[in-house]
Amino acid sequence: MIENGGSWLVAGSCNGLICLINYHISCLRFRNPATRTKFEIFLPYSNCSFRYSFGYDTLTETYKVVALFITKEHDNAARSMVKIFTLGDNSWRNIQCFPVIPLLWVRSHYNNGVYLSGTVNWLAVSDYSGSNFSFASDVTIEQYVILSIDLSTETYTQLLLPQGFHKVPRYQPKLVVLMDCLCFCHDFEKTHFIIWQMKDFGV
Amino acid sequence: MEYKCLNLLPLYLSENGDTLILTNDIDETTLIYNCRDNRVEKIGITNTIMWSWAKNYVESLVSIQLVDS
Repeated sequence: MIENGGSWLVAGSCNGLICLINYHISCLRFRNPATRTKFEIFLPYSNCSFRYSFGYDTLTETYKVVALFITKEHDNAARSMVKIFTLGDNSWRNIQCFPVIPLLWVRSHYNNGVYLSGTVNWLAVSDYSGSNFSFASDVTIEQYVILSIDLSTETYTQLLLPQGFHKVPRYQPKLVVLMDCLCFCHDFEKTHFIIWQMKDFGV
Repeated sequence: MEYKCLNLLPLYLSENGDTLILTNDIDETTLIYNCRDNRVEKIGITNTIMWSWAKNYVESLVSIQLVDS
């Protein structure tokens, strides 16, 4: 859903609420289209490089936005900054930075963190050495990992990809949620498109 | 046979697992794939939809704390 000619982009949808981001005016909007209610907050910073994910903390029963920003240091090491906004107390907090760097899609502002039962998940690469945090063919299979943040504890877990994933695909592999399961998908041998479904999350 | 457009993003899988909606990441061509008979149908809606931004949405009466619009 894109509102107002593309100024508002969807950060996420969860339990009937939609979280939208407007980079032009640095504003987050929460909407429930069914009850026609909305709530807006202006971002305390105007950095357009932040990407946003939206989800539900099942423990405190609050909605949270994860804002992430990834940058390269002078020594070429990637560094992340992660902030969490809690709807209700309407505050931003810095949390521990990412242990591994999520792969971002080259497409500007696109957020590829996926929400699933109290967690937000990204496809990440350990020891990333590329330049723009996007897919690079020199990334080895062993470097890929699923990075998961638990919105209740605000801690990270790293999950391994399926063992059958043993050849670097041509295009950037993706993490999606299908039928309430985390799925990892990639092209294979120029002829196939493979979708792996995680039946039990985190097991 | 080599496929040139395998840069796909699955958007939705039907509950019985038979039907998959996929979009091409580059030109946003969107397809309905029927896993049962292995057939693909291109979705005719034009490029006004930014498919790769699509999110699942289920209606609810959840309130957004405090504020009404």
